[in-house]
Amino acid sequence: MRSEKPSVSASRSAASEFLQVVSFKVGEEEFGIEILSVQEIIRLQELTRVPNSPEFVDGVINLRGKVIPVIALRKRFGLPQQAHDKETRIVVLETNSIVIGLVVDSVSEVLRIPADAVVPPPRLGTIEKEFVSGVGKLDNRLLILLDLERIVSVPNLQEATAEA
Amino acid sequence: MEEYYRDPALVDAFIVETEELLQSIDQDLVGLEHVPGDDELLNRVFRALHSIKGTAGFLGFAPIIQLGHHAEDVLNALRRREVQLTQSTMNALLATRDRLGVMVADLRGGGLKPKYEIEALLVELDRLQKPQAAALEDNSGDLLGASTLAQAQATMRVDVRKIDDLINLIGELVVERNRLLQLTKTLNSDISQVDSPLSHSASRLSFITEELQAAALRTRMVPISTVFCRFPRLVRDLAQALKKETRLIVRGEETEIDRTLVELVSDPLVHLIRNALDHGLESPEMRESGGKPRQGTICIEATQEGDQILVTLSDDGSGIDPARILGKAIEMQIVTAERAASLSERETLNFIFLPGFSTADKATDVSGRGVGMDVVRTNLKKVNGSIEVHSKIGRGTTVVMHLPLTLAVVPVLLVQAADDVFALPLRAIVETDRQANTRVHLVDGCEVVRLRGETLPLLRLRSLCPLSSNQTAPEGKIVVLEVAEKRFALLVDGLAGQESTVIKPLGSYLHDCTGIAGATVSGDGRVRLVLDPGELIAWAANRPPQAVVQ
Repeated sequence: MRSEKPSVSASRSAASEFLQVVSFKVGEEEFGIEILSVQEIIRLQELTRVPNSPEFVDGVINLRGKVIPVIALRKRFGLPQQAHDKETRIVVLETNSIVIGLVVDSVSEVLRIPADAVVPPPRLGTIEKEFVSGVGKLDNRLLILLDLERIVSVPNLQEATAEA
Repeated sequence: MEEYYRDPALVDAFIVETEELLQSIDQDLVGLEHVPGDDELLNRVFRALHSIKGTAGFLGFAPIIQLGHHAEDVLNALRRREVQLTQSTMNALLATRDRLGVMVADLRGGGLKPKYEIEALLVELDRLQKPQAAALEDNSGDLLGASTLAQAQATMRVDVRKIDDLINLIGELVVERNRLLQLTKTLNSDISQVDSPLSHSASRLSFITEELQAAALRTRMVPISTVFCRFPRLVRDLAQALKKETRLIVRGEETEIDRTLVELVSDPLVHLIRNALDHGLESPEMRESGGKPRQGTICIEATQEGDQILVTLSDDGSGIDPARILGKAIEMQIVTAERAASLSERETLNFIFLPGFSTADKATDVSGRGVGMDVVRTNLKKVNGSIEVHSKIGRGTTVVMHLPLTLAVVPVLLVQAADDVFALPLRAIVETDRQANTRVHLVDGCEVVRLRGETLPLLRLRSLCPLSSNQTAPEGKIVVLEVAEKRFALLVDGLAGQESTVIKPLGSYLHDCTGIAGATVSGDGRVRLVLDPGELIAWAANRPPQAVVQ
């Protein structure tokens, strides 16, 4: 990780023109997260459920000896549940010094999006607008850029635990 | 002020060293007060001050040199028996120490202030020494100084973070070792070979890992005297302020505790000592009329008991009056008068741990603001410790703090509920029994079990698990847990062994999950949640009564 420092700063200096994002699928939509927040992408592993945790937290996993929470994006977005398959991945992120995993249906690729191709979130149907920081327009597809802080934040834990 | 170039590393070393020396001066001065003729103590104070002054001179910290110099003169006069050690001498010397402490704290905070109000103290120090006592450099001081230096080199200062890193890595090693042992077992049973070189190597590795872990944990242990050494001074000052006569007995200073516990124990103890002096001990006149010696006694003792450290603070003061506590509790509407009548003395005493509870009629500088005992208990709970109070009216109060020996490794019992395996800290477990040996009764809509004549509230572990039903497998096990002298029974599907593990916090993201203290990574690499018995019982008490599945 350390050795990649120069390239990371290079991508940051070019941030005014290009945005580097990791794209992945949840349900029918394609999403993107800025690459600087992504620590790694791992295959699904055995999850330990946590009682009294927010409903969208799938559980915790052992990431090389560290215990990290994992959020099911499908649950977070209120999408119907789907059985995990060989495409299912956990995107491990670091945001606000919290390391956390997101369960996604599949990971597609790393994309460079021109900064001027990103527009503010329009009205969206299924995905709650609160999680979206913008929409990237590519040749023939739309990439929903996620606001990590909002996804990770626990708006009302009291309520979530009361329901559980 | 002259401009000096000072090597920051030297200044840092000076600060650390001076803080330690000031601490020892503190102790020795108070010791000297009790044994005024003790030359050894006097010499130690002199040497410590001399060495502070010396380094300060090298670094050019003028106010420290000035103050150190004047105090040294007084000490010199004392050593030559030209003057007697009086109360005012002692007060001046302690004040000097405190001033030096303030200066060092300022240094730590960035630098000395341009001016310190030390003139009055300097005049006082000059008055206390005889005029002819010229400040001759004393060779013996230097010689002895050299010998303490040689002693100091046997230890080395290491950044705590480095040790924590080391211990974390060893924790990982232990987990990996467990995994290796399990793999070896599986592999050996596959090839039906028990005595393979692999298992030899694995068990040897296992042994070394354990030794390594124990050795690393020892590096974190410090004698509890690092906490206790502040108390003689504290008791002295408080006793003077409160006009009480007090004797402090300290026992078991050599008992070792985890370094991270030092700060955690220190504040509660200071608080308890303040309480004991302010509320516990009576004034000398009252004590005399009550047939007690004028001088009150406060005793602090540390002992190790199994995997716990007990710190006991007792006084021979007036004790806590349960009736007064009950009165206050009723007044504060914590309990109803009817309920109060049925409370045991112990339950009554426990009210003092509630937030905002104080029986003191007026708050003093020393204590009685109603903040404290609850903070003490909360702080202890954070590290899996507990606190209890015993008191007899007219005879005194004893407070016992239970602390874990180390925070790093915790023995746990693995319990099952449906498909989930949880870990329970062994410390909280009283006993386990087969469910078949007991019967579940319903009392006021709550489930209870009777075990050996004792009625215990029952909590089903399955009710904590999100996706499983409350129906327990027929051959369940009962685990009796005790938290802060409250017992309850936990019904689990089965027991799945015992482990020593490193408990990791669930992180800020999941810290609100009731009933879960943290997680451990077990031998097979799976994450296991560690239950928090204290929270479980609270959670069980607060959940709405539910339909019971028979």
